[in-house]
Amino acid sequence: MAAFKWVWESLRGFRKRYLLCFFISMLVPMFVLINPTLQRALIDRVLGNGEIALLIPTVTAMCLVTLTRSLLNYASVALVESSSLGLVYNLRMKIYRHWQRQDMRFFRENTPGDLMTVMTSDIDMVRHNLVFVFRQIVSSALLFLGASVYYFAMNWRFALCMIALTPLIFLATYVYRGKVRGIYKELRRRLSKLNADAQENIEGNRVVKAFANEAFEIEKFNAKSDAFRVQNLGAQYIWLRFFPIIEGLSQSTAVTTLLFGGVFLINGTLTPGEFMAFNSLSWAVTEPLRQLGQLFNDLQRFFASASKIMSILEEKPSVENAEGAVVSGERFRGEIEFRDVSFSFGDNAVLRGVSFRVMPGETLALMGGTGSGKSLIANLISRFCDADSGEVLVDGRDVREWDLTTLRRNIGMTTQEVFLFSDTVDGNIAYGNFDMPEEEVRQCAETAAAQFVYDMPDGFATIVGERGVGLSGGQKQRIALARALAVRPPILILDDTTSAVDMETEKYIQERLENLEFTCTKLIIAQRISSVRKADCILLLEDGRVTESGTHEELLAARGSYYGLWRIQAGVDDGTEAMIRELQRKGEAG
Amino acid sequence: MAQRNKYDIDERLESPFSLRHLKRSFFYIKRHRKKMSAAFLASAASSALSLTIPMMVARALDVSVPNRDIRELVLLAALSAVAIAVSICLNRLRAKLMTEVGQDIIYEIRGELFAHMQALPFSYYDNRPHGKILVRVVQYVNSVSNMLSNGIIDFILEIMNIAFIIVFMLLMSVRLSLVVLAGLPVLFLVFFSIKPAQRRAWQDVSNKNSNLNAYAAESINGMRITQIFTREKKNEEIFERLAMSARCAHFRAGLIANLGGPAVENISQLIFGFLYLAGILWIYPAVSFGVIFAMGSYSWRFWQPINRLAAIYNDFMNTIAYLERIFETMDEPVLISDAPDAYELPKIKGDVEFENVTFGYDEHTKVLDGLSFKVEAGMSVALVGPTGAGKTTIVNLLSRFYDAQCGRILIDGHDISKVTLASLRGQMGIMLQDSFIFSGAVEENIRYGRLDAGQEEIEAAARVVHADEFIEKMEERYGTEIKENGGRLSQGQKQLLAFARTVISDPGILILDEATSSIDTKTEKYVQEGISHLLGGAAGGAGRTSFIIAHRLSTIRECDLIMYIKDGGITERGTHGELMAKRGDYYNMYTSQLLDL
Repeated sequence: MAAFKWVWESLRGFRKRYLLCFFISMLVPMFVLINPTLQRALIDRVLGNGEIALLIPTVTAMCLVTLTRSLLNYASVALVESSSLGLVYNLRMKIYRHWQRQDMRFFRENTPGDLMTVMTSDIDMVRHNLVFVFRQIVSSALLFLGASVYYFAMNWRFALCMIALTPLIFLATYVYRGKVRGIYKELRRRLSKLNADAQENIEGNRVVKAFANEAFEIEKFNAKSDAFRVQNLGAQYIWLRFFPIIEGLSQSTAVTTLLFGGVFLINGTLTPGEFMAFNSLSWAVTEPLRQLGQLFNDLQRFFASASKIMSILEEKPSVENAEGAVVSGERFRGEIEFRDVSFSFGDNAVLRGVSFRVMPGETLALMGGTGSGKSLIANLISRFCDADSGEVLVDGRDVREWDLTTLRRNIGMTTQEVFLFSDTVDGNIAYGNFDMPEEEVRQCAETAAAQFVYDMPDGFATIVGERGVGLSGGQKQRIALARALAVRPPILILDDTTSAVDMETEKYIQERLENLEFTCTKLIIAQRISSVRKADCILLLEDGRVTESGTHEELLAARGSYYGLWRIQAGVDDGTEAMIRELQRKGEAG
Repeated sequence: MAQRNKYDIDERLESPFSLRHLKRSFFYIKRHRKKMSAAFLASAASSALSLTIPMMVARALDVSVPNRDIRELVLLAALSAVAIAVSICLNRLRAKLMTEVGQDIIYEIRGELFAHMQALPFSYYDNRPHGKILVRVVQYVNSVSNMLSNGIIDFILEIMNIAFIIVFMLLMSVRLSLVVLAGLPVLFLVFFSIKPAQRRAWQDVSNKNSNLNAYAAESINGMRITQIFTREKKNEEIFERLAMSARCAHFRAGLIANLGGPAVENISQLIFGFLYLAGILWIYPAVSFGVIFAMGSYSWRFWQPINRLAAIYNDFMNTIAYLERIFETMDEPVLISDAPDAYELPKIKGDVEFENVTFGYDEHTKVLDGLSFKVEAGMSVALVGPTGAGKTTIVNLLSRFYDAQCGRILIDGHDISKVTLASLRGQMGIMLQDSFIFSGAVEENIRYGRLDAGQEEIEAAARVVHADEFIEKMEERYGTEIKENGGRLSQGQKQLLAFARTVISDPGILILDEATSSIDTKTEKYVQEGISHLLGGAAGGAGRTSFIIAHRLSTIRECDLIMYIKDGGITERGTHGELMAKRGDYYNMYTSQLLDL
């Protein structure tokens, strides 16, 4: 019932059309009864009594009735298409908006394949029910009722004989319904698995080829494809077990018509015209019964799909605007402070009481082992997740008190895994600031050392594919950097942004970043000493704690872990260390 | 150069509408001809049987009732009961067979499509949104099965049905039959005027839906970026526009598609009326009351199959649109495939030679121009040089992800274009910049490198690259499930897993393309040790050849050979010491980097 209520809710804006269509669908069966009546007159009066004058008007009337009926039918089709497509549209928008509000947890727990199944197959199933099934159920029921009433009014004895067996069909259908419940849920699950598998294969096509695992992939995919096939067959086999019973019962009316109709004709309780009318209307009794099984089938699938859509829509993001969140149009100063921040993934503590403070315009660098929580710090600042304890403050206010949009508008960020949209380079750079003049796009690209764009076939109008795979890792990173710069953020977070960029280019980028036209607090997450050495402060994270902090020179002098890293990266033995010192002295002098 | 396919660009079909696609699909149908024929026969028999029922009714009305012959009436009723029962059994048989055929066809087409996709070059995946590829493998294939199984049978059956009814009608009354048949030309006229519009309309629907899905799929993948840049509103507008145009296209198609049914209905009603007029006014009493009645019900039965043909025709249009897409994908040229006489590359020793290799991703720009070099087995080679100089291209050519336009590439003296791809790539360990991790258990991801690897080998491989440290911390260790796109793993952790995956493949030639950029320095050090261990040849034999693209000096310095790539060729080559002494490009690069440390 909840599902129907939900559909009704989602039909908002199209309800009138849908109801009108329903109304017409109910009218149409009535029309079905008119022609047999006319036909009866045709036979009894024209043929029987020789009232030839009635022939032409009757036939004309029959044609007009059909014309009217088909026009009405067409109107109802137009209405149902319009309203059901309206519902699809409403649902798509609703789901899309819902996605946009979700946090990282949601996208971790619902795979892209699952989400796409909801967006496509599930919505289609709801529409299918709206267009065919609901209408069919109501119009079949009306047709059946109408025909029965008509039968009983005409000749109750004969009507009783014809309809006697129908309760058995209901019973059979009911039993069938019980058997298929669950089957369709499983079918849906398998389809979604198949989807997910194909999607991964497409995304990971490079890896598949690199390991020459095509045969393995094909086998894996075929196994999923087969599971889907088997489940489909299973569902169909169950239906086939019930098919003879339901079909036999519904077609039995033909036998009863023949037998009892004949007998009643012989003993004179039925006129030939009445018999004709009965006979030509017998489908109005049998068709609805026949369809019952299929309708229930579709209804099951509707419930499975509707409940999946509803459950997706019910998910609440854990990061949401607090009540009375502060909205501000003013540019942030760019101060960041962590006060004793802890965070864990399940039992796994990632940050344990981290505190630091960055003043506006300063550059803070974060280094640390793989999985030490560096990216997490970036996510906490831009509030993609919330700390378990402690406070994250931006411009002196807890991030949880800021309006999410206000907060994120003031942050420019690049992510470790670069994602570019299927759009032009220009469109990708102007992603966060889409009214940006082309000139500024170019400036940002230049700041990010993305001059290579000029050499591409269509320059800034070149479309880069999904995930930007047409570009090398370093090129993608530079476009992502340009994208972050394009919003002229007071806070710039660079998460591993130059890891795939060569040293010379990195140096160029660093110089340009030092001389931005706008003041900007920078948070740099990196593995390379060269990326962090010019920062005002470098934090070393180990085991969720800040173990070393200071400038490059201070940390080198301290001879701690940072110094160790430096030695490894420079490939330093004592000889080279001397050489570096020498070179650096010369460099400073020159 | 291939046009990239954006979400809001409709894919244009290159082939004009033709029966070609249907003919081609007969290939799949043919395999099931036994079941198809059986189903067809069952179905034909069943509809022939059901045609006898009006005859029995006519007999009852014309003979049994006037004769007050109850016995004959009961007999007729019993006969029709038997006819119905048999026809149901036959129908059931057909339904069973056709479901199986339909599902088998889906399975086969999908399998073939997927297998073909595995052979398609990177450029195929790079040039179109992945959502558009996905929808072909899953939804489109699902949508064609019914047409290719039931649709075809129904089509033939309905035609047969029509033929049967015509025969029955002719047997009963030739003149009345002609009246009924007079409606056919009118109907064809109506159909053929709707047809082209309908085809275009459905194609439009499929295009618009495909655009919408592509955008939705991309939105999911890029959601974090969208949120970071607070672009939700703008994206919603774009999505709204796409959803709206899908909605309008579908509505239009619906309006056009639904013209057929009412047309048939009205024509058939007209014919029915005309039949009575003609029967009563002109021919009666030459034909009996029973015959007019029977002709009336035959005429309905004549139009019903035509009506159903109209419906089949609708489905048929949709299916053709889907088939076109599916076959289009199957026709995508496989740029790199085994030569007809390809042989297995013997176990790699590791000599690599490039002979005058020229390559460009498109015709206009050459990335490599007449590149030649030779590397002996066991050497570690660092490729350095400015971004975009062609370092990645060299390793892509060596793994034969692309074919050189001129020149040859030899491994142990074997031209790599003459050996099987599986034997070539199967012996190479390729670590890419982009470390894609599959959903599934950690161990399955490592095993991906060598599918028959045992548990101990997996754990050993993880230890070699020090991935065991974070794996051991996960709740179910090697059995921990990873979600799509690596789930909660960090970039560095993904790289470690990808590394373990390469290590376990026990490659003859190792290629590392920026493979460790996101791994922290300490771990990288360990990884380096692991690599040297691997390169050293664990079995005690000669070491393995490796190509390394990296920015870190420490990695580069230790290589046996350093090649500086610039402007499509090698400008300097030698050991670290030699190149430093040369004071050229490499020296400049190296010293300027040291300055930054």
